[in-house]
Amino acid sequence: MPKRILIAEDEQDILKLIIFTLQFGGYEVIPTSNGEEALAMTRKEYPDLVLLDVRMPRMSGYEVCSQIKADLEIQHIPIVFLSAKGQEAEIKTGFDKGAIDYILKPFAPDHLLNRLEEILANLEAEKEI
Amino acid sequence: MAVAIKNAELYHLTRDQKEELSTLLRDQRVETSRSRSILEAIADGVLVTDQHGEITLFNHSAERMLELKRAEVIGRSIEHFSGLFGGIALAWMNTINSWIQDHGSFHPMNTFSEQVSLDNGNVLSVNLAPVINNNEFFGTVSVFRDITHLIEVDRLKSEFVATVSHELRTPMTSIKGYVDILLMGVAGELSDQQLRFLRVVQENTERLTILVNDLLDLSRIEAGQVILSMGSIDLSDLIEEVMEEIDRLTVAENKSMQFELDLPPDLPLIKGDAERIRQILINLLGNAFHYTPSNGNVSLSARQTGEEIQVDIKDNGVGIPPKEQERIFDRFYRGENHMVIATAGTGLGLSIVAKLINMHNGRIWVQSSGIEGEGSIFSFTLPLFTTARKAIKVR
Repeated sequence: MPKRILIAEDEQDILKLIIFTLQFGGYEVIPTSNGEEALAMTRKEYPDLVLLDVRMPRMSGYEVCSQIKADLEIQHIPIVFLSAKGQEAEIKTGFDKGAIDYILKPFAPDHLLNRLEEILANLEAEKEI
Repeated sequence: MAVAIKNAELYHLTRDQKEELSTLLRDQRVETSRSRSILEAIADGVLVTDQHGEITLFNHSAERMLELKRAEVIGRSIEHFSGLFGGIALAWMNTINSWIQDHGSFHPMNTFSEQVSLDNGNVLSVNLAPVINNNEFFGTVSVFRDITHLIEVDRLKSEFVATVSHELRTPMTSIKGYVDILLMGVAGELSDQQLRFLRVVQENTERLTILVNDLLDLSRIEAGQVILSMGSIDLSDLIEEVMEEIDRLTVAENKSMQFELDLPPDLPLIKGDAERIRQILINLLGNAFHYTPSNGNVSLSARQTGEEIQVDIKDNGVGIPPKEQERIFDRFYRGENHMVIATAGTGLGLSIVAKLINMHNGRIWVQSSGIEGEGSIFSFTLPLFTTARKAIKVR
C-alpha cells in the first residue's frame, strides 16, 4: 500500500508541483490549501506524513504543527515544513513546534523525494525496533 | 624719603599683581562658563561626574533624553542616578564605579560604549570616557545620543530585504520545480534542443536563487542579526565533509580537478560556528575550482600559527591582478577575467566570507601575481578553541 502524504500549500502552482512530484514518487497525496483545512484533514485521514507550508491563510503552518503535536490522536504523525522562510530563527521555530525536518523553497523535486523517503524509512526502522 | 619711595613702589607692584590675578581669574571664569555653556548647548546628552562619582553636570539634552530634571541628579551620587533606572544601564554605571574605585583600572585612552534601551522604548547610544589631566583622574564624562530612529530604519531595511527575498522565492519555487521536472524527463521525452534550452533556464534559476540567498545573508550580517553559535570544531572533519560537496560540484559540472589536502594529524580544535565555517570553505574552494581551468590543481593546507589556525587555499588558475585584489572583498565586485565572466556568480560571496571571518576574529587575505596559470592563494585565520578561559579580574 502506498504511503499517504498530506500537503498544505496555498500557492496553487506550487501545490500542483508538489502533487505531481509526490505522485511520481509513488505516494498517495491528500492536498489542502490552508492551515485549517490541513488540520481538519489530518484528524480525518491519519496520513503517514504531513508536509506544511509556513505562511498560509487561516492558520499558519507553525500553528497547525503545534495543534497536531498537542493532539494525542495524531501527534505521532511526522511533520515536515516546506517553506520559503529560511532565516535561522524561522527554521528553529519550525523544529521547536515539533517538526522532524525543514526543507527550503525553492526545492529540487528529486531532493524532496529523497528526504521524504529517508524520513519515512527511518520511522519504519524505529517502529520495528 | 627712600623708604617712602620703596613703599610706593611696593604698593604699585602689589596692585598690579592683584589686577593681573583678578583678570586671570575673570578670564578663567569666563572660559569655564563658556565651556559649560557649550556643554549645555550640545545636542547630545552629557553627564559628568567628579572623581568621587558625584554628578557635576547634566545638560539640557540629557534631561530631555532621560526624562529627568537636573535638580534630581546634580550633586547626587552615581549610585543614586543608577537607581532611577532600575538597573537597565548596569554596564555603563558599573564601568563608572570601577573607574572611580580604582583609578588604575583604565588606560587614559579607554572608552566604553553601550546601547541602552529605555523604558519608554527609546534607545540611547552611550559613550563613556575618563577625564584625565596630567595623569590625574578628574572624573568621567558620558555622552549619549538618541538612536531610536536609526535602529528603526535599520529594522525596516532588514524587514524589507527579508520580505523581498521571501516574495522572490515563491515564484522561483515554481520555475525551478517545473523546469527540474521537465529535465527529469518524467513529463515526457524532450528533444536535445529543448533539453539545452531548459538547462539554460535551470542554471539561471540557480543563479537567481544564490543571489537572493546571498543578499538576504549579507543584509542580515550587516544588520548584526547573524549570531554565531560558537563551539569546538575539528577542522579536519569539517574539511572532509566540505570536500564531499566539492566532489559533487566537479561531477555536476563535469570538470576534473586535482584536489590536495595537507592537514597535520595533530591539528588542534578551532573555535567557531561550524555551519558558517563550512560556508566559508565551500565558497573559497568553489572559487578556486571555478577559476582554474580543467585538470588544474587546488590545494588546501592548515597549520597552527600561535593562537590561531591558518588555512591556505591555493590554485593554479587565472589569478587576480594586483589592481583587482583590493576590490574583490567589496560587495558585487567581480573580476574582469574571462573565466570569472563566464561563471555564474553574484559578486557577494567573498564579501560574505570576509564578514564571517571577521565575526570569528579571524583575518583573510589574498596573494596572487595576477599571471594566468600562477593562480592565487586565499589565506584566513581562525582562533583556537581553548577550554581554560583566561581568568577575568574580579573587583
